Amino acid sequence: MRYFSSFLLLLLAFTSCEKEPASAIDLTPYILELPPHFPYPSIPQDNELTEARVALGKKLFFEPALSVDSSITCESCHKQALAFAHDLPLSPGVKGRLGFRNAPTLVNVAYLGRVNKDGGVPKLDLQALVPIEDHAEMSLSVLHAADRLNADPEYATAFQRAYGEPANPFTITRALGAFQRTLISANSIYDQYLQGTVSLSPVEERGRLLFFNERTNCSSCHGGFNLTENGFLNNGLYETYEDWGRRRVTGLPEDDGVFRVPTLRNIALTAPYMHDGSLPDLQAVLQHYNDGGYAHPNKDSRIRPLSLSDQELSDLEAFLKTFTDEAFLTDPRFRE
Amino acid sequence: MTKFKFSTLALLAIFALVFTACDNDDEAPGIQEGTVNMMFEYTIDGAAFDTTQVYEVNGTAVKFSIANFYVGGIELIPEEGDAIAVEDKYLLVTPGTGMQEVVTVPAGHYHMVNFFVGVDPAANSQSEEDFTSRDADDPLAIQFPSMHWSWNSGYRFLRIDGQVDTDGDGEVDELMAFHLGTNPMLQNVSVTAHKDVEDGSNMLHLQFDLAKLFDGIDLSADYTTHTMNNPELAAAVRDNIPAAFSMMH
Repeated sequence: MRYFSSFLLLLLAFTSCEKEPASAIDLTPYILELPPHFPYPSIPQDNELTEARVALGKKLFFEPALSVDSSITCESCHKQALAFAHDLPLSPGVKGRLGFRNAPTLVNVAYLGRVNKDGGVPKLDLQALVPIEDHAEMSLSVLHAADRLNADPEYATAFQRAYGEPANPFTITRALGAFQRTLISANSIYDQYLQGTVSLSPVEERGRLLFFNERTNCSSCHGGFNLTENGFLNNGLYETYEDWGRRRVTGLPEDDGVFRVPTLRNIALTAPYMHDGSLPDLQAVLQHYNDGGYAHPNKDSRIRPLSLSDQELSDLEAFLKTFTDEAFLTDPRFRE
Repeated sequence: MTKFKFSTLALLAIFALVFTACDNDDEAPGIQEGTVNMMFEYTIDGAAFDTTQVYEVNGTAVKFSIANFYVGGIELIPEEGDAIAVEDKYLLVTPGTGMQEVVTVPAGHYHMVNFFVGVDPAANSQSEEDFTSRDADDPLAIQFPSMHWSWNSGYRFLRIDGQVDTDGDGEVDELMAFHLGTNPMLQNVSVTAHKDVEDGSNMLHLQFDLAKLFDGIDLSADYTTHTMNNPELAAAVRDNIPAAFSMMH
């Protein structure tokens, strides 16, 4: 039905040449700039990237009217300077309400399949419903959010230009999805190293060799161009999990304490770490993996004592810091 | 230009009329059809449902604020012949929805009506068409009060909200929430209808008794489930769903 509507809109756009409506849909494509080692992400047919959609999504990302009392925006918990993550274990929502999971980085979410730490959302274009409607986040029905936006002539025009429709649950979530797909971080020191334009320092190089070594198995979960295999695993953070992780979605005991393996891109900037923000810095994370984590029936077999020396842990930390993409952090395309 | 378009349209309309009129000639004379509507009469242990009233359910004072559910998979079982399955039809039932049109069927005696409370796994998966991509008048589109979960994308099949008295002081001061969803919560219902469908509009008037939903449940102690955080309580309500429905006329 949605595709059919889009087709009709396109037809309308082309046949209405004689008298162009003031708010015609603008299909100027938005081109993602990607280095050769990055694949082009899969973009859903019902939300092709266009300049108008990305611009609208960006505007919404900084829009306080999406929160029930207009007190917070998406950006409140996803800061560009922190690689669109936050520096608190749990970020306050409206009225200071705290959820129970650490705000994740949004970099390279274009490459996610199932979304959220437990994979409870099947596609990025539905994800915006979670923060907008969650009681501990923005706490607003998306229908009420649409009413607010449609009452604003500037938004009314922007939605028509982007989708040929007013603000509604579809266009709000798709616009935010479109903007987030443009948050590509692909120009870290490590990326430049891969392209042969810079060399790693000796300590970084030692860390790289450890990272891609069976001694640590780091890269078997955090491999690939995006430094994640997009798996869902239990990393032995606890013996008993207060937050069930993926079990909360599937109900399966084998999913207890199982969470998304996140990208390590810009990892030095996204502290605190783990699903609940319980590890304050990279040293604590490396120590956790060096110790092998707590016993848990679902713990992945690769999580085991590593017996890394202090020097080796420092080397790994130095390598992890090469994943920082300084240009991304100040890219004006993502600023308000 | 305008005149030309208008005359073309008029010509098309006449052609359409001529050709659609032919369909009637193919119909066998004497076969009558009736439109079947469904209506759910909410009751609490037989008493009329009212969101301002405090009821006693299994000895616990309860006040209801929301009592909505989805009905799908509707099948009418005639006295003779195959069951008539109503494809892709969902009803969002609330205390205020009243009569909803379901299907047009041949006139005759229908002795059973089957349906499920919930949303089928394909529609519930949100993987293709999802609740944001549906037209606003589709019952499976996003609703307010919401009948969907965002964090675990899918529908609330049955949503009962209200307040309960948990300490026996007569004050209904704790929030009650029974939100049933996820595929295992889909519940089939089969009701003996004995309905003679006649030419024109017909109504299947069913009773939906909320007290029966909580049969065997102590609401002063067990009054909240969002399914995944208390699957046992959700399953207990799911299992009570068939008994909550009965045919009125």
